[in-house]
Amino acid sequence: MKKLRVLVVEDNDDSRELYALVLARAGFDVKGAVDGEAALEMLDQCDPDLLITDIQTPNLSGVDLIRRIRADEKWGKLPIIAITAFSPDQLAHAAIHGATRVLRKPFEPNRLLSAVFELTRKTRARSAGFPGPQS
Amino acid sequence: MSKTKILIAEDNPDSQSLLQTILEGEGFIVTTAADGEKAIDILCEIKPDVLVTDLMLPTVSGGDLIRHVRRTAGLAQLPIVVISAYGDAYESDALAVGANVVLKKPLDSDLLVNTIRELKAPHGGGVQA
Repeated sequence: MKKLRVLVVEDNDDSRELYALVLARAGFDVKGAVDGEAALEMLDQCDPDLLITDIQTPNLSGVDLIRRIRADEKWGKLPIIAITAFSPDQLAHAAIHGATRVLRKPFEPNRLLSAVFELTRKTRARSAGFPGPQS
Repeated sequence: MSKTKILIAEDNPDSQSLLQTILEGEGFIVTTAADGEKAIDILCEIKPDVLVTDLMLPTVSGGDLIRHVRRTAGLAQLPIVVISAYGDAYESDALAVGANVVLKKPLDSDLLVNTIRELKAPHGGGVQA
């Protein structure tokens, strides 16, 4: 069975490595990008099933990245988890602009994994040969 | 043989979690401290086999934490690994005050694990490649 692919967008090396390690151990194929611009450039080649982004990345912020993805014909429905250390206002801002889930720091592996599993449930069922009910 | 105990002194929560996730995945027993003062407080209590520390720590810096360990009876021989995001000047400073090894960021997790295993078994007895 093909592993599901997650694209992690985070400029801090340790944070990106942390998310990647936790996801890889849970069986996901993980790719990393250091900012929103790099993420946009690699979307087609990476072909992710889910995107995780920090809200404040250099060059193109996480919020702008989400907005650009939502406006894209091919990638508009990609599940997106936004991660932020900041205030509930910024959490709301990210949600308004299209994040599927918003997680607040401090990072907790189990909260990330349960969100990732929830948002990839349909994709995992399909790749296992169980199309499930149409919704 | 009892499991290797590691104390991690690191204030950045994600960096701390990254180190903890890597080391617990290798079967080490990990305790964390978010600043130098807390690290000093719990060193004697948990008696780690290896200390892994950042240099830039709140309250007591990594350099002062290393100095404290080297001049404290019962701790002086504790192997110390410094994780450094900074330049060569800091690397030689950290070694000068008593760190055994300085590893630079971005972190190479295999190198970290192998370094800890070697420091834990310095006489070459029990380490398998």
